[in-house]
Amino acid sequence: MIPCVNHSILHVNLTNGELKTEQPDDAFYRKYGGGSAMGLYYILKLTPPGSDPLGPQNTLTFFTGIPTGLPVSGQSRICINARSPISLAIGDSQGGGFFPAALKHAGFDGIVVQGRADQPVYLYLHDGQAEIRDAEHLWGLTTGEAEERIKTELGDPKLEVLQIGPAGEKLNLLAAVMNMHNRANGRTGMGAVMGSKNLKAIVVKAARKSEAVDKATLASLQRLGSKSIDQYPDVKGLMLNGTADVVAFQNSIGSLPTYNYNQGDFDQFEAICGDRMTDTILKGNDTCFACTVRCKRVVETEYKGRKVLPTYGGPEYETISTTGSYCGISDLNAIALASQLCNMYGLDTIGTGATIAFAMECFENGVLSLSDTDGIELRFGNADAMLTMIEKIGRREGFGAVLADGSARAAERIGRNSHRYLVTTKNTELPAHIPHAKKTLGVIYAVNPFGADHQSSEHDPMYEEGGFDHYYQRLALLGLHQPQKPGSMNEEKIRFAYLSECFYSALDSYSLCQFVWGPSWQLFGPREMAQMLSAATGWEVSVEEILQVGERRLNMMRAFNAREGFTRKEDTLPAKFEKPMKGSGPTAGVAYPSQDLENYKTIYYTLAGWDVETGNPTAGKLRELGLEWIVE
Amino acid sequence: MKVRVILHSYLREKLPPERLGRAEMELPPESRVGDLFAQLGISQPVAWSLNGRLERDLSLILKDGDEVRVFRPGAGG
Repeated sequence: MIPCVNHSILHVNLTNGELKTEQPDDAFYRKYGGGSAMGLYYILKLTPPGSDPLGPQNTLTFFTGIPTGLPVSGQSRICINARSPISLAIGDSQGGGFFPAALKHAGFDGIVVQGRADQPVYLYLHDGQAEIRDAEHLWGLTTGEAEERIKTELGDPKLEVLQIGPAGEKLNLLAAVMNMHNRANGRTGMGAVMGSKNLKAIVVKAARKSEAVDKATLASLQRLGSKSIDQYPDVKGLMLNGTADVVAFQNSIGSLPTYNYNQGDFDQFEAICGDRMTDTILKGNDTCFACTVRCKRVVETEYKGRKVLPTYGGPEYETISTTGSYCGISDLNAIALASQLCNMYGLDTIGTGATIAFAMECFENGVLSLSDTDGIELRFGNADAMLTMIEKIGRREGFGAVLADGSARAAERIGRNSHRYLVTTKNTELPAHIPHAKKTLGVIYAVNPFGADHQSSEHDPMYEEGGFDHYYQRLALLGLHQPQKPGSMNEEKIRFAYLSECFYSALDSYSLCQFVWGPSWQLFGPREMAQMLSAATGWEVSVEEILQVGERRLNMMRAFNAREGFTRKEDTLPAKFEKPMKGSGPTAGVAYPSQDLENYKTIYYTLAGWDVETGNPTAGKLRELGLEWIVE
Repeated sequence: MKVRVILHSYLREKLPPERLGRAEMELPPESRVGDLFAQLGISQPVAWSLNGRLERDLSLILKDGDEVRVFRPGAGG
């Protein structure tokens, strides 16, 4: 029995209050790795096809991975999965912090939640035990308030709390699941699913440590990581400026979405870049359990007399872009307050900022007027309007109720041909990396089972000439030996997208941080990842095995979607991409035509071994991956 | 001639900390971008722009009053 997992998965039925613990064997852990692959295993078995995503039949899973909780950087991550109420496809989101390691240290590797409680409850896990407790008194509190109340009533300030905020309680589809009230499992509406079950929070008390088989190797990897940050400039940038470090580069290549994705360069980018945040409002760095990179930002400032508190962390690159450049806003203090408000209400900052940007474009074009927006001038550049809308969305009040379920639902409600301003695929707002500058990312945005995601594959610059040697040396371990011309798009690039997607998919199975572990620029490459997993388990884990774990997860997700009627027709990019982008940077005048995408998709499905007509996994492929139980 | 230099991210360490990555560099006439980088001690892969336009050719000749911005070369996250 491997010592780094508990061999304990908690099954919770909130309808009847039943709590059961399952003890899978090592083979189960080796096959799926943990994370969303393990979540998908239960979702595919327990959620009946066609289930209402906000109904009691939807299964909601929370999974750590094999290495979670070990004393090595980049392992404290948790994956949350369920059928998404936004896309109606599979939902998936990852988050970090101290909660994931603490869940493992409380004696559980994952939680499978079914049913729906009659009234608000929270789960309290400690010493391998679980209890369902009343949460009526916590309903309606912001995340910071609720966390404080829980710690006080249980008399332990060291407890870790994963929770929904008021947005999740109101079933806003933009709702996130928060921990430490500044770390988010943001995307695909998992906060709304948690709210639909009347599950306010999961509280864990860490009481033991996770152990590796080969502690010496693990310790030497941790020392190597600490010593070598300077050798990996992208990681050093994260340490210095957080994810905001990429703002300036993104702008330089025309990949900083601006004015609701109408252009890729923002003339005020300097005011919101990582250097500026470090020089002005940064108070300190924060981290996740046992991580030496410390990429999390802590800011302290105020905007028009409203305080931005360090306890709510600081804005990530995605938040800076979605509530900043997407909306034409360059006031870093306003962006910091937007980040805080989203964290307080429990909102996905990407979906929320992008939805407000969509509404701003509608307003600018006369599709919305003051009579629709509660008298708010929803114009690009209006920071006050952006902040007011976040609060209205969080409270699901007034025009906020129109936007609270994301831009695709808002377009249905608004009508008036407003869908032409959408920047979504599978109803999910695109994150802040523009496919016109990173062509393979367009393919991944389209085919990704849970909608557009920037953390599901490696980005084009890493497999283009002019980068660091370690990018290419590591990608070669995945069979990628031919870095391509900058800005190019071809079959080799799509092979890069697919293989790196399998690797990223494995990261979301083992539940690892994609800034610390990865296939190119990260602190540790594929070889070190295989070494770490081998040290953790005592198995001989190879890069090939890692890739297959990732491929298995991808196929499980696509199989879930196929069951719900999804085909290649849903693998799209926004109609807006047919027209050339505006602005004055490298992507000005560039389009991403749907016919190009169709050609790329055919190459992609062929590489994946899927049916080219439907874009779905074949029975043969599922059997090859040991997923015959899905076919049967 | 004088060239305005703006360095981003970890590249700011090429200048004294109080400069916050900004400097006016004095260079001989006909200097190339590669000469500027050599003077700054930039030898690793970088992305850079000349007067707001992304470029790759280090042999480009600089003019008085040009602005060179230097970025890290990649971006995930």
